[in-house]
Amino acid sequence: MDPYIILNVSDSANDETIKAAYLESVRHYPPEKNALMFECIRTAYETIATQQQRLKYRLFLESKPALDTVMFALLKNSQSDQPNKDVTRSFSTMAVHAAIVMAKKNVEQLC
Amino acid sequence: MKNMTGKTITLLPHAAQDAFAQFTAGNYKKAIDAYKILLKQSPSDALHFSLSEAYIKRAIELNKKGMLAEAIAMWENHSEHCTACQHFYLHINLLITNNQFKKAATAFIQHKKTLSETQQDTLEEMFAAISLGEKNEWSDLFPDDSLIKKHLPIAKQALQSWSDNNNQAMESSLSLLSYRSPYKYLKLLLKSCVHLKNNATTDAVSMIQKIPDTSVFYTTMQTAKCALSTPLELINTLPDYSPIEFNFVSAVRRFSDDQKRYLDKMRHIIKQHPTHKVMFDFIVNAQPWMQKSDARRLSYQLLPAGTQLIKPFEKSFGPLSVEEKAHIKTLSSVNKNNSDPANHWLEYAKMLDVSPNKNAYEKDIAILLRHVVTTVDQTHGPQCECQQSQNTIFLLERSLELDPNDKPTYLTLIQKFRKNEVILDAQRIIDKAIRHFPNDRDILTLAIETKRDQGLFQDALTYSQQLIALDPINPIAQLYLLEFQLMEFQVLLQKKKWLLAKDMLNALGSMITAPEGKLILQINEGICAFSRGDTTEAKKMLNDTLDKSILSRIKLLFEANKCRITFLDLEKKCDLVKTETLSFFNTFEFVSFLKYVEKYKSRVDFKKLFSVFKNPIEAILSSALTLNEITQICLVMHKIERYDWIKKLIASNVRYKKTSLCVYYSVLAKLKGDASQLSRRDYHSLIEALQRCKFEHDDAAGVLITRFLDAYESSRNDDDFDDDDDAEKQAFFEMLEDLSPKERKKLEKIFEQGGLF
Repeated sequence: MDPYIILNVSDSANDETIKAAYLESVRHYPPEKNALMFECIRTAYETIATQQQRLKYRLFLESKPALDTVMFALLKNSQSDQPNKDVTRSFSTMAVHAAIVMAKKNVEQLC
Repeated sequence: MKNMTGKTITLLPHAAQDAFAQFTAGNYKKAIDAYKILLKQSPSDALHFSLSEAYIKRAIELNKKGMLAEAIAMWENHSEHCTACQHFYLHINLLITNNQFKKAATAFIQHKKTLSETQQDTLEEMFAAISLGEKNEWSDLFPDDSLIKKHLPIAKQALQSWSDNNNQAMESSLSLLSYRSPYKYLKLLLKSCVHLKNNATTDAVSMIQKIPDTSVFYTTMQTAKCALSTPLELINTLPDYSPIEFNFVSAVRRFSDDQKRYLDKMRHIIKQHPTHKVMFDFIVNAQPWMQKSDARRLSYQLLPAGTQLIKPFEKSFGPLSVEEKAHIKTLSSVNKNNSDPANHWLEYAKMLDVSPNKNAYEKDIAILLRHVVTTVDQTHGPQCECQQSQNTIFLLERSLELDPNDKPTYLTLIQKFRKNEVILDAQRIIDKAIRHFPNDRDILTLAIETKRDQGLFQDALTYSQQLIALDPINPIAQLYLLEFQLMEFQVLLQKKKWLLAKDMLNALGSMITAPEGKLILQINEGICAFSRGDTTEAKKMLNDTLDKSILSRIKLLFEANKCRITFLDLEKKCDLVKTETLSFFNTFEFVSFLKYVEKYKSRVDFKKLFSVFKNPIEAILSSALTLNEITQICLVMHKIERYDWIKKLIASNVRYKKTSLCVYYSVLAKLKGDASQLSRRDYHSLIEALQRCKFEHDDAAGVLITRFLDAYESSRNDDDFDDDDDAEKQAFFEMLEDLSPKERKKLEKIFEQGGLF
């Protein structure tokens, strides 16, 4: 995945900015709680930590773009602190859906 | 036969047996028809019961097929025939499955008492979950004392508070829900969602674990957990969600409508291995949620594989520069044709080097040149001496001109020069490297080695002291320092300045911690005592120091030799174990011995030294060794130019005579290492051996033979190169006359395949 998007830095960022972004990301996703995400952040940092690495990344295009990178960028941009009336509605729908799934399971168990 | 409740049914007459056979065969529809006919002929309780059982089985069967309304109708038929056993739990679940919540709730309230306690709890929780999604009037179906009805407003309020991000209000609502409440797991669910959002995973997990997988809120919990997990985890699960689950996730993460629509499209496409064009469109359209530079970079990465996207790219992000276009072209060529990637990169570097914006691309060019060298070394091997590999030195030097702060490049370049024995150039690069990295251990180590190779021991000592100052316990630095200091010590001994010599050893003793260094130091202390005539002290020191291994004896021998002390004299006067009794070297010992010889070849009297070890040397040269051992030994013997030993060793291992390696060493020993003396016959035997190396993937022997043949080619006069192929072929056919028919046939075959000329 694209290291700049993972670390949320622009491709003109310098070593210090990238390091600060890396530390911030690690603080947000500490390895003991988010091993997978931490690994991804660490790899991203190791890919673009120095100017030479950034040049290499740009020149040799070590990672090919994939939709998951775009999806990652989008997911990062969600505003989970905003109130949203859809939450109650979709939660209720989800609960009803779960009850139906449960009923199906119960019928299957009776067989 | 046993029915669903376990009651035994008495066997029926013939027609009834047929109906029963259909029932047991799973043909419930036919069984129902048969029982209906039997009932018309002779109604009985037993037949009513059997028919009701068949209806139940058919209801389950239809439910499995997704024919929910039909399944419910079957259950209703069943209830007409069986008043004792009504299967209400099945009926209510079927109704819920078919979205007939009101009817299900009515049935539940009516028949609650006929259900088991577990069934009651399960259904109550299911109705509680359904109540969250229904209008408030729906709960009026339940009696006033029902907890489903009583706790519903509290649960809804808690949910609303969560949705408003008002955790305090949510907590106070949830605190009103008792442990008996059918909403009790909703309470845990909402609380753990708050923990998840605050990244308090441990607290969240401990709450999640309390929700049993039999709970209706379990599935919701799992989805909420994914929704609030890291983007990386969500990416993996998102494509597999149902629309309801996706809506839920979108709501939990507060996606905007545009974002939600876009993501929904994307999660469907992602599973279908989208084309570059589709990906490009997605990236361009994702710009509201992405910086333009990110979108440009991601789109740019698609261009080498999809050059048709260049135009749309320029339309979205502006024109590409000439250098970018060349970069895309290079990447495209490298991806398409992996056989010579180095060449494509080199062309691109050359293009940047003449570009009007060259100054902006200096670092790029340096990186590209280094990449070319790495690729060439990987393809040809770092030991290769072909023209392309020779050019790598030029490329690395050029890269340092453009970017002089790359330590690995200095190291590679120094090693390449040292390998090619171009010591002055190695020294030039070392001086340059030390200017940029004055306190670098790797560079200082190479500086020491290079100075030592040039015999500039004083300079080497200065670098060693510098390295020791940086890294006092570095064993390599210690050994070098010891070696160079001992050279001064040896001079002091010769001048009979024993006290100064002893002081020097004492000073070194406080610095040297490496075991090998300590051993050498102790040996020299013994030698010092011996030199000043204190044989008793020397005897004690040397016998304490030396173990019975031949290696420690070799060390003593070398150290004594360097101090101009006759080893046999030392051995006799100090009463050491006689060297003659050490009659055999193992391969490791012999290689170590030869390496010592190589190391001190300018400072030791070898004639005397070899005479001391005559017996073990003779023994190992006459012994049968493995091919690997022969390789190790011959490599070092070549370095010290003991071609007579190589010849003897190869002759003793006649079973390997025809291997490429032994052919090479036979020729090398015969010519005493002088490639210019190569005869036609030997030339062809080496060529044949080289062919065999390629066939057998014997790269080590292949490199040695190629190097020798290259040296031969370089030694030839220009006139020799004018010899036409016919002359070579003539010589080749003359040579064939001397061979056995089998060997001749083999070489002729290689010749026919065009392998020799």
